[in-house]
Amino acid sequence: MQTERKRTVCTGCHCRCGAVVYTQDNEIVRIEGDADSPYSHGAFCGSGITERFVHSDDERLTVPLKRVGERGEGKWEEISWDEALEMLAGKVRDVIDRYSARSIVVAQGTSRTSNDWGQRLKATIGNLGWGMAPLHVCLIPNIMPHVLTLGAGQMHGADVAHAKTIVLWGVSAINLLPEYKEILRQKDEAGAKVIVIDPRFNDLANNADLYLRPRPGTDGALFLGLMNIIIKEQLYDKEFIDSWTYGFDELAEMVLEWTPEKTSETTWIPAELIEEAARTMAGEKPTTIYPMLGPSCMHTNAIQSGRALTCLTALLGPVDVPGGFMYTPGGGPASSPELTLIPPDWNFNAPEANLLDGDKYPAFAAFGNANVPYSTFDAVLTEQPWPIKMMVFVANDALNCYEASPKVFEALASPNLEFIAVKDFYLTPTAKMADLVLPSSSWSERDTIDEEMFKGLIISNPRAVDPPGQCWDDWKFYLEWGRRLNPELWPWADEKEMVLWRVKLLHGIELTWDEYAEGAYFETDACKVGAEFKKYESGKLRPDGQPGFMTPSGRIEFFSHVTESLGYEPLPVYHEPLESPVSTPEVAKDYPFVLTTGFRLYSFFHSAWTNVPGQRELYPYPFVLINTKDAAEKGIFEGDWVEISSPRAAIKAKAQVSEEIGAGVIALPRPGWRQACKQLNLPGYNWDEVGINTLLPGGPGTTDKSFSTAPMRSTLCQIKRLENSDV
Amino acid sequence: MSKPRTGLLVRTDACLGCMACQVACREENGFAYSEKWFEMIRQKPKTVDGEIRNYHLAAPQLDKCAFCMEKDHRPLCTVVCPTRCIHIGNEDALLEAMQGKGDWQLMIKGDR
Ligand code: SF4
Ligand code: SF4
Repeated sequence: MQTERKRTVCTGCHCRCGAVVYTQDNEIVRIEGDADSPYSHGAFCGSGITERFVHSDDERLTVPLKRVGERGEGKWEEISWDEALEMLAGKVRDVIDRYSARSIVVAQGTSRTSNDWGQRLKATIGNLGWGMAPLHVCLIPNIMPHVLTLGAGQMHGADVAHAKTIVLWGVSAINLLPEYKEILRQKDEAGAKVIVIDPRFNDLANNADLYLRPRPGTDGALFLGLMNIIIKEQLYDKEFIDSWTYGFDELAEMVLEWTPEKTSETTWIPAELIEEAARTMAGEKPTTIYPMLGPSCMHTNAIQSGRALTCLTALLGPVDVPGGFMYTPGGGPASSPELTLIPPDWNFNAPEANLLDGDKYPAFAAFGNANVPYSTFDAVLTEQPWPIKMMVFVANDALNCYEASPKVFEALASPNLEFIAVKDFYLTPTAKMADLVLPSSSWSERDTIDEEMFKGLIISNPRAVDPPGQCWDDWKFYLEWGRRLNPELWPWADEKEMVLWRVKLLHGIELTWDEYAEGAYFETDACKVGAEFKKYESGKLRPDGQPGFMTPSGRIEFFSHVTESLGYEPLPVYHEPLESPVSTPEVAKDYPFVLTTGFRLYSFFHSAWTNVPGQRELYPYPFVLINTKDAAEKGIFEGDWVEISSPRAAIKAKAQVSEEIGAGVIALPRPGWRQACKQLNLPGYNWDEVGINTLLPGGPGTTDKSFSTAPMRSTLCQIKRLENSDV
Repeated sequence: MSKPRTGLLVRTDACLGCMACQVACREENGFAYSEKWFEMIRQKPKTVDGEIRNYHLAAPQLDKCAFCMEKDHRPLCTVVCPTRCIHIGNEDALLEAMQGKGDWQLMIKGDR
């Protein structure tokens, strides 16, 4: 049998590693990283290579399923895609007839490359925006402050390959796999200093020069404390600050109170360490900060922490230099109105935008363009401010995704919700509640494109194998569903045509499919702009060609009037997490530990793949991190089943006792949920016994005030050993 | 002359403990799920002289690695490693590689 070598991209997570897949007769025999990839240079991960198993697993969903018993009862009938699409399209028409388009909610989870097509589908139904994507706890709270302060629609501007000081802030090693070699090289060859900041001593800290362990949720204060030292000791580039920034004096005055002592008291980091970090960042430049979800997402103070992060970034300027903060074109979720059908001047804050609770959370409406998730589940139950009758979850296991999972369950079980469809790889807890379940293609089985990480490059993403059974990728699904609703808006024959149309639209490059698939790596015009530095001097950061930044003042904005108009202070003021030992000492009496949830493991992606033996054997059981000292006080030993409780709920997990997490803090990785794995003879654990989001609050008064961010990274909990009889 | 001895070398300060190598060994060799031929032993962060430190350790079955070396392609564990910090090879080549920067863990298959 002939072995074929197919090059593509793994879209199993946001790393987007280049992949080489060896196949025989539509079976995968071996997967490697693509050594020629100009982005990932051969890096790969264990999770990615288990695609071989996923492709051939006979327990995978491969046929559309229609519910025949009661909802949640688990009785299904296999149906054709035609019938499934008729059900979907018919239900859309029915709900629009009896209610309106806004009573239909399409909720995409993490992107399987289809973000903008999902928006087009929603627009076809009559809902502009992101539906109910979990953007409130996604990277948008990073992107939004980058827009507000730096005029950059990107989640970071890290250039680790040229930096002298590399600050890895709230990022796990798994997120950095394609870039970690560059960090090592920069350390070995250029003597770069690495500073790791994370409540968890993660693997990046093993080899760091400095490690800072903030109390979860206090990163906003740490940014201010670092700026206090840099300003007091005049360690910044005065000329850059004078020429290119706005509001420096106000910022300087505001951070005055954030002395190392006060910052230390708030963050639990020793004052000397904060000083050393500030001096290193401002002294050994260029300095690049690589933040992920840790510092400024998933906290009740998310947006202002992000504002503080971006102000520190500017203070460490000049920006847009190699090894510093780089303006990278072509990245991010930006797309074109011609594709998403969202008019460029569309106002998501207007009542006509029909976003649930958009008026109460204006920042979320403006930058998330989505319904507030908790409010939407609530609206299912109360039918206020309008009823929700149909929900479609694409790559979204809602019961393991959103905060306050019991609320999500209540909504899914409610007869008010007439129709639930779920598109996924396996029968997830959410799929079990569905009326219609649709099978999905995995990364090696898709003809697609996704350039979100490639800094202007296109790396083509053709399928290596055909999907099993009737699995469809999300592009094809949107195409066929959209075509049934409005054929004029969906004129393409298949996904390949969509890819080529999109490449032409967004990048002005005309290709045939073979040229696209075989050409592999393409430079776009954005690469040329991206390779230039200090673009604010040449006018390349603004569409009007004027020097400066894409902000209202044309300068980097320490002081931001737009931020103020969205309901925050114009300066990045620090607020304690809404539930913390400081802000709610009465709650802390019963729940004395700070809880941070959702750090990433090397296996799994979000809630997926817990049944895949190659991944599951690395993390067989749901577990929790507790510090050695706390464990001793609580009589908890390594491997004990423990109960973690919050004012909302209690779950169980196995204890891992070490210095990985600091005293006084409890850390739960994502996901808690496990699907049974028959190859390893390991049981499943359901969302309601181990799901980390059950512990979290939801709704008014528990989130970021204008962005509705749920505090997945900073609340309170209690922990106790479970007796064997309770397990 | 006796056959050169096979070994495994890991640059421990570059290794993330991501276990891709362990998953790769299973993929490369297709042994049953009841078996395990290679393990990346993740150590836990611990306090040394008042400061937290950590590194991870590889635990191969070197007779199996020797078998992998005879294949017509590089062992998958070394290919997927995101930091390229794990090497399977002859003793001499590994000793040579160890001259580079870093901390190293070397295991050599001895005669029995
Ligand atoms: S799943 Fe693994 S191989 Fe795939 S993109 Fe993410 S890190 Fe890379
Ligand atoms: S793949 Fe490389 S970095 Fe990952 S655990 Fe193995 S040796 Fe370490």
